[in-house]
Amino acid sequence: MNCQDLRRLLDNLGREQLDLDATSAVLAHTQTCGACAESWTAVAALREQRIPATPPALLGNIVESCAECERVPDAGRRVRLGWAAFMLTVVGAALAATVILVTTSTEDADSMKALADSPPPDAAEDSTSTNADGSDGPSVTEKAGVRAPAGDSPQAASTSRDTISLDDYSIVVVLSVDRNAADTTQAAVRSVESRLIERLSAEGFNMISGAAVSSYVQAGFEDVEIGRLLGAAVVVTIDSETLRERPQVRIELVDAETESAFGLSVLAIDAVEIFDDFDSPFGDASPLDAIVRSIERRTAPATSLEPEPTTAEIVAENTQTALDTTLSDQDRMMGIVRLRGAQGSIRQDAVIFAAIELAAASDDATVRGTIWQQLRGADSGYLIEPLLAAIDTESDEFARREAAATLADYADDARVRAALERLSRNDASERVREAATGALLPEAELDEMLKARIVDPALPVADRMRALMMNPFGDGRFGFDGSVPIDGEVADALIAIAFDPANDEIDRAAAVLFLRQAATPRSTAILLELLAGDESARVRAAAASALTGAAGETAVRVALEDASDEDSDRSVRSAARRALDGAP
Amino acid sequence: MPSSQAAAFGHDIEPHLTSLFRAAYRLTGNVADAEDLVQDTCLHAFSKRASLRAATSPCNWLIRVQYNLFIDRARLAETRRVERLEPELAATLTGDGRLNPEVRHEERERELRLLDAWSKLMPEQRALLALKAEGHSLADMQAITGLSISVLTARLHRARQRLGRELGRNVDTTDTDLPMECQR
Repeated sequence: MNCQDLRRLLDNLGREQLDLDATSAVLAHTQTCGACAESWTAVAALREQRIPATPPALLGNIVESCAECERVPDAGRRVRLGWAAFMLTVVGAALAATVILVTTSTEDADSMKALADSPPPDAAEDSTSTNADGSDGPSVTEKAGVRAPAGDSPQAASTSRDTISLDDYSIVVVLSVDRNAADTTQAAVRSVESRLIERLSAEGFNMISGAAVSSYVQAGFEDVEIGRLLGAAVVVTIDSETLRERPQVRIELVDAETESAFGLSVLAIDAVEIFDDFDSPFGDASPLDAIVRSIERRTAPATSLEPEPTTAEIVAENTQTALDTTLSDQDRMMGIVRLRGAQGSIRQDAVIFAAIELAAASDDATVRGTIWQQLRGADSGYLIEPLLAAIDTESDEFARREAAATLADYADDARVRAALERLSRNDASERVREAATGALLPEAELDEMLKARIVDPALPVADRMRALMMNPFGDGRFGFDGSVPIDGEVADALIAIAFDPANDEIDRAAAVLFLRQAATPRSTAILLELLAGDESARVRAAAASALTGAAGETAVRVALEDASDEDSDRSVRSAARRALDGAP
Repeated sequence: MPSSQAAAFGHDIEPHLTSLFRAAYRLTGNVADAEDLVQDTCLHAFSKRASLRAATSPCNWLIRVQYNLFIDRARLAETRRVERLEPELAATLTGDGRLNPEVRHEERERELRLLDAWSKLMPEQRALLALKAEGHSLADMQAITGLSISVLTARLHRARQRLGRELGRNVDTTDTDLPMECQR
């Protein structure tokens, strides 16, 4: 018996007795494995726990309570006031010229919940509120506190992030569909919304969406205000935008209390994700996974739901996942992705062998390509033969290209060089040929080639930015393992890109972010100038982020504090606040 | 005098009351809170009794309501801890009549240690371990919690390790590490 066997045994153990063989195997294993001994101790203690008999009077008491509940119909029920009552409350509040803060406790929440439950004008039948208990069992999730809008118009309502108590497990989804966008774009936005709601509901979050939210949007409330009004600590905004003529779905996670954005993902509608810059401690293959993980991570410290896993725990858990042949190829691949993210590169022979076997046997080309990609930097001689075989026999362009790029690690080997040279000339795919060419270049030469592109004003800015992100192949994926060093010449090129308002906003913001690496007094001054005066909120937010490392300087700190209080755009305020929080 | 609807509801839930109470006792750690939790669960269920009758597995349906209720309250209370089992309540534990006083004392000590360790777990961890200890399969637990099997097994694993660690923190108990059936 090994750790995996024991874990599986415990997962499937009911209240039955273990037979002698299983007992002996468990005993033998737990004597050699401390972690499994702990698990077994817990299970053993619970199996031995003695449970009192059900009190004989319990059933009678329950029936009596139910009868009482029938006699007093509102007892124990959520009271729903109509919109008219809601408006009366609002008008009353306006007359009193005050903002009503309503804080409830679990026991006496009914009257307060009536306010939260009162739908705005058209929010009656089609509003969605999904709880982890699904459609079968009744939802019992309760909002910790709500605030009644005050004033004679919805816009007059305001909320105080200092005093309100928000439910960490409630999430408001604010959907913004551009009616002028293409049908496919609108459908993609709605699809992302439904997938996100389904996934987060399954993770136990109370999802508030649909008309319950859209009517607040129509009434002019800001996203974070809607979150506070509905008692939710997290607001997810989903909308569409066009970047470099490609339609995207943009998903942003915002903390309703602090107004800080804590996650952003942008997915290209026509293909795969362009990028996602979640602040994730380890790699996530799917933006959806990353969203869920970001929300869980945000929630965990607030409620101590689960301790943050240590790197050792992540490595241990994902090593098991990678090696477990009973799991799906995709699950094992995710284990390898996370493993690499946690420890930088995959170093264990057992995992390398498992990855090779998976890349050779999987029917899924994405799995094969991703595995070759994740093995970059593994520096294992065992990989050479399988990689050479892959570039010869792999039918999928992505998987072949990733295999070729990973072979760059072994380009000193004569056979590898010969194979890459062959590939760079003969492969049917231009992208594979380019990857092979890139793999043959020494790092310094590759940097020179990329730098020449970055500083060349004659090239389109998008191409120069791709070169900056060490992706000369133009395949829409950002970033391999780093970027070209930002020397003075590159910094000048970036400043020129950042300051030219004719450039695409996303390119300007990316240039600003990369300026952070220059970390010179001149670049700091440039960033301050952009933060204070650029017309684009995206560029100002990028400048605020890029100033994180310099936030210890008084002038920078003052500028960030000003931006965090006064900038007209929430994303800039949020970025400035994060920069201040992350100051050295 | 209970109404006919309340009486009929009592009839519906009676077969499941022991399961509900056992799970509630594991969750709360004492009889009084367990009774309260079961009562509140049943009151919620009474307001949705049509759904209860339509449920494929009424027991799982009720356990799911109880699970959600417990989690929601625990989330709101955040720092609420399981109270230690009072000594006099320990005497109400079933099946200890045949044990001599010394063994009974050891049993009680062990029970108190478990409750101490249990109180240090997060509510979700307690809830999952309680369901598992009550013999629910992973498929049942998936239906009850709405979590995927992979999430469930990962969380169960962490919860077991945490409880084992807490149990091991204060005690050096080679003879209590293993269940009775393993000591033969």
